[in-house]
Amino acid sequence: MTASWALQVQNLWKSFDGVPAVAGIDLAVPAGTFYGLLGPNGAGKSTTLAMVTGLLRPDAGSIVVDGHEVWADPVAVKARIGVVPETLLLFERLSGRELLDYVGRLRQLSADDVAVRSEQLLHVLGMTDDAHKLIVDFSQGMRKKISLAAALLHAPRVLFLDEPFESVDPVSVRHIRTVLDQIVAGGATIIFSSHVMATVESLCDHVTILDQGNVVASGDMAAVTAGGSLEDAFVRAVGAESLDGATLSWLGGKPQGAAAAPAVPLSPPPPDADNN
Amino acid sequence: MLTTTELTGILVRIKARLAFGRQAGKASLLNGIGAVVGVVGTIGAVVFIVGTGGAQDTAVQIMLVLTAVSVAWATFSIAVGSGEAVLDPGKFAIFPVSSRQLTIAFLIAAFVGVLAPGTAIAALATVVHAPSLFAAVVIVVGAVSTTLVCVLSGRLGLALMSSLVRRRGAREFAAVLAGGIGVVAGLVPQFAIALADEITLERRAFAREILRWFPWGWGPEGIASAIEGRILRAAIFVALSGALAVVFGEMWRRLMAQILTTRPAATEATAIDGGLVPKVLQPLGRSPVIAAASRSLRQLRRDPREFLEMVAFLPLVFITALPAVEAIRDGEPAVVLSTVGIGAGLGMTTLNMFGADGRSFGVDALALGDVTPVLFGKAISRILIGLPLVFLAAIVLAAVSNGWAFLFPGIAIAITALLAMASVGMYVSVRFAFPLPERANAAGAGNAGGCAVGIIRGVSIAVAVLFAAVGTVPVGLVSVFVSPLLGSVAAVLSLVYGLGLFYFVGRHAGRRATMSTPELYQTLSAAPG
Repeated sequence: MTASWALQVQNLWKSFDGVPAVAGIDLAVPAGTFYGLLGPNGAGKSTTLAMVTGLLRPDAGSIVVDGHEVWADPVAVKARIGVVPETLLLFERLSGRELLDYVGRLRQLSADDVAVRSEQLLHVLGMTDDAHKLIVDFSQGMRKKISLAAALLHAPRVLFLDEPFESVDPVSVRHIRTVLDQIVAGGATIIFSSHVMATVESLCDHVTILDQGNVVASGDMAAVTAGGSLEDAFVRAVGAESLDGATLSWLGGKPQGAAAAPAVPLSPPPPDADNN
Repeated sequence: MLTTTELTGILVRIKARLAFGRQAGKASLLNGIGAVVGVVGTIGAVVFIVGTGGAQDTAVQIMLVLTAVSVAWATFSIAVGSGEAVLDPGKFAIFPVSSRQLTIAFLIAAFVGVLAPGTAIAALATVVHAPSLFAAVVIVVGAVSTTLVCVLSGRLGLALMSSLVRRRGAREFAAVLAGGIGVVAGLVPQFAIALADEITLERRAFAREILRWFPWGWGPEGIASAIEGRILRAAIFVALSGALAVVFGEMWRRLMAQILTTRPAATEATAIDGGLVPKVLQPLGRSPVIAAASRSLRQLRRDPREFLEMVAFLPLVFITALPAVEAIRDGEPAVVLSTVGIGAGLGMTTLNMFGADGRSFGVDALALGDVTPVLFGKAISRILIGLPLVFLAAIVLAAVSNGWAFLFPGIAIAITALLAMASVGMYVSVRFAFPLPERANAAGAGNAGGCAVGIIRGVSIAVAVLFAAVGTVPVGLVSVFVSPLLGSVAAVLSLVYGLGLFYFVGRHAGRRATMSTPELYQTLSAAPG
């Protein structure tokens, strides 16, 4: 294994209740690239990212990040990576600035480094005025941005981003893109998942498409798109069916009971409960 | 529009799946144990109620027991934020159901489980003492209304507490309220045991005379009167109890309506000045342990869930209150040694230190390859809160008893108890982490896990007390029966024992947490929303 690969994944498996979520995938992400991980809902993207960042134990397979085996040498790996996961990991009762201070201390950064870097990140992300608020009072976009700031604070070699632009306003998106470009230009690697094809196409130089836990397309952007758009390549790779006009024809029509429309079964989500 | 019957069916099925459905190995086992304990408790209550048939004051005993159960439902939900399983009505805000429908459906669904059916069965068991068919009917109606008052009291108690803890200004009042109830609950059994011989039939009858004017005593008084054959009086009290259930139900319905139409503010604190680390800890450097301790102190101040989790254990601080009172009365200077109860009680607050972190534990897991500093940091935050209380209590007790010679041994064994209990707490926090609900809403945010958590905590506390006793009892014996001076020497050894235990068990627990970081993260991420 050499560090010329930011991430090498071999034969990675993970099943939940016997159903494979990730079914023996291989990935090789060159260092210094902007790498897109695509797939429809339930394709296994977030499960894969959770495993390669050490938050979910795989059933089988090897994962090497920046030359270090994730499960054999987690200390070295965690020192090199930054993560913005799909489900944001934040201490809600800290202010934004306190969270950055906390993460900086955990990562053993000097007080000066934390102060300077926090200030710059908060400024670039347009959060200087909100930094003193508790995170629990942040909007979804602000939470995403403070999570990104926490992931960038220690200047990681490999940055994993799960839907980084979701809920973020267009101005901040532009700023974040500039920051991400700067990170890759500095030699670090960004691996990110998104459903927004235009964003992936404009940012990434390599891409892998997952479907039902398998890699269905992978390579540099030009090879995967084959001269077409990424969206077409994606649809082709995952074999999406097109809907005809008759499907869901009852939508937007008369209220239920006024016509012979099929009833929509109401199944409220299970409310969370503790067992007595 | 769903009918109430359909909605009730859906909720009952959901609750049944949550309570009895197939779950992961450990959760399934613990729920099974919890159910068995609940069933055994119910059988015990039924046997007691049926078995009082030969006693001279059957009606009095039944009235007092049922009133105690009713009060327990109301107060425990306030004191420990737990009780009957909590379903979150907020999840139903997008569905076309009314608050009235939800109230009825939730109330019926509450009877899928252990506590509510157990209460109902115990209350209904009193019918065996009915002197006539008509009295039996009144008793059954009284049992139903008493059970409804119990369940609704639990719901409203949770709502009251979660409402108080969300308001920063009311947080301290909530702590006093919860702590006060806990202290009373902790002291009453101590004094009841001490004064058992003095609880005569006449005094029990007098207690009944008082309690029947207390709203939670109306239903039990109706049942007791029916057992005595005083039907008219029984009917009046049962009617009062039924009216109380209706009032509580209406209060709960209004609460439901509020939850369905408004998003509760998460907090009223908007601007946080100052840094992460309190000034008193800043000289200790920038280690991850200090960072984690500081973060934990901030959370204890700001997070209702972690705050309540800790307050729930604080009444145990008064574990040695009765012996201390007797010792002061007897002018015994060794009363200073009872400070050990404060150390032990505070040590118990460490049993679920990761619980409130939930999926936020991922911040620690991603930043640290070895999460041991977080574990130590969280334990140290509890110790930092405990130390001033230990010193204060020891000095006050020494002053009132002129027991200054026992001051050092008293403080030392309190700290040893705190460290020993925290050692077990660190281990339990890793092995049996229970995620607290992610947010508190007006329907309440009870501790996750219910009976299973109670069992784990009971066993953990017993083990922790054993570890603490090894380091503290010898010091107490030497101080009292040999000399306080020699006791001080033993106290030094006791402190070494406590610190050693804290360090080595903490290291072991930290290693275990590190090795099982993904599993711990997945467990904590399963917090109810």
